[in-house]
Amino acid sequence: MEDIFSKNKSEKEESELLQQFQSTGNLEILGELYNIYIHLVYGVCLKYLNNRDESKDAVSKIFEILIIEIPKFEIQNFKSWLYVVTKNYCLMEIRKKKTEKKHLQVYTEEIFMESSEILHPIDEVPESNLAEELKNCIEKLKQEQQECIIMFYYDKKCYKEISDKLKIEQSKVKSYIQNGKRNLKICLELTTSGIEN
Amino acid sequence: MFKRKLTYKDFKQYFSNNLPKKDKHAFEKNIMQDAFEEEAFDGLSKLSENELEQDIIDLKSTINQKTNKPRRIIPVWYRYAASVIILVGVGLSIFFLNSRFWQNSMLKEQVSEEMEIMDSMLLDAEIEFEKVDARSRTDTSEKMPTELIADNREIEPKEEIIGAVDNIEIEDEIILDNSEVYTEEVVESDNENALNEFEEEELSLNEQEIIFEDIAEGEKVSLAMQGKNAEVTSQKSSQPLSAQSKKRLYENPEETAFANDKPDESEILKSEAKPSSPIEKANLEKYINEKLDHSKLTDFPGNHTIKFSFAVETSGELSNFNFTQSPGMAFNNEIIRVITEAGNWIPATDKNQSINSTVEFTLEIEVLEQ
Repeated sequence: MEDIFSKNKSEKEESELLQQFQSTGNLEILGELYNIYIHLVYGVCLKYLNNRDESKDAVSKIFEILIIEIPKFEIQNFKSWLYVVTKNYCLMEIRKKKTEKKHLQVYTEEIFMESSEILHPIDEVPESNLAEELKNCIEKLKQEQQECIIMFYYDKKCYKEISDKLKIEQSKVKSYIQNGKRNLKICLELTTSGIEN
Repeated sequence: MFKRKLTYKDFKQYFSNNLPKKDKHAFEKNIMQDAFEEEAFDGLSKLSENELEQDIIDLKSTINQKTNKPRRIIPVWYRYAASVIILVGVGLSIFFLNSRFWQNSMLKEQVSEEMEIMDSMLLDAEIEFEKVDARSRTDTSEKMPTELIADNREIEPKEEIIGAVDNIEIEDEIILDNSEVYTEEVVESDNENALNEFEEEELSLNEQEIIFEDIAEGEKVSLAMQGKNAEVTSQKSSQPLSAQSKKRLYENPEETAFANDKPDESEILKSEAKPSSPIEKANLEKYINEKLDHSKLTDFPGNHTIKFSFAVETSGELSNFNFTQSPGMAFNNEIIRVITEAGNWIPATDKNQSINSTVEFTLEIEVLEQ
């Protein structure tokens, strides 16, 4: 309950700030709004550009883009819109670098695979009691994915613990979990459609 | 389950490795529900805690500088307007440059045309001047050689001239002036009338030659006078051999080339060559006719016109007898004998200084058959 309240409060504050900037054009208000998510923008730039200095420059340029683009649109969810602007900018920067073409292809595939703001069924289950179908689908996963999924969601272990236990890198743990979630979703959809039929 | 919004503080705590494992798991599970946070987590995981903290501080400082600096928001249409203005300016500049170029080119053409016109006008003027200058020179008749005109130039000898003396040096060129006219004098000679009426008038001439034409009978007596203020007189003399010189002088200012109304006062310093006394220039023809031995001329009956010239040197001596028209050597020899026996002449003067001059004379003699 507290989370809902805090979430609504923060969203309301962001909405007010956005409206104030759109009406007044006061850059200080936009700066305040931008600073709320500046760490996320920087993190995304780091992921795509893989360079601290370039990522810092990108954060500044994205802010300048916001100054120009925000008045043109009616933005409902500033966070989601900022995410799209940030990612598009990073992809444009990557396209400019012909030598990193391969890098671009890798990231486009990952984005296609992982980009999803829809809660996975496994994320919606706050408790450890899994539905029968979900359990069956987990058993169908690959070993690495299965182990990471179970340890993360059922054993409530963090990446570091899983990494230490399975002796794999944290980035791979995260990757196995993501891929496992995708496969579970597919499996559940097939299962659900089969039940309906 | 509602996702709790993660802040930078949460990220900072997570990367500080100070969170309990349970909180870490909760954080990790939380970021999975948001693609923005999940991707940001992937990027921020590459940094250490200190690097993350320093970078975020730098970024916030940069953003604050941008927001604090008064930023002038330029409307979008300003750019289009500026582009249009620049294009118009460039177009106008090109237009004016071209128009000036054409103006200059047209101006140059116009100036060149005017210069050509001026040059042609000057050329015409020079030609006209030369014509006038040539016309102002002595020109007695078509038959009068130009070599006989009195001037100070060296006269080159020509074979066709009889008795020509080469290289006559003339000190000054005496130019006859059109400003003077001579009075008309008409003398009619009549074989039946003994008395001839004629008038002696002093003709002051500025030209070198004066042409007298007999309009009525077509006889011409031309006498080229040298120097200015030349006196031209006509005189008819009766001859025992009935050789008569017919002479009709008339003065027609329109027909003569050198008609003058008044003696030029500026010519007072110049004088023409003339025979010494008692012979006067006006009576020269008469004197010659009287002194001619007509017995030597019987082989040439009829009327004859003898044109000749001779030079009068500064000493008064006569030389360079040239006969341009003569029936024969007998006439030439007789005329030379008569003139030279008369003695030296008084030389022409210019600015009270004696100069060489040339006297041209036309004599008409009638030799009757015997």
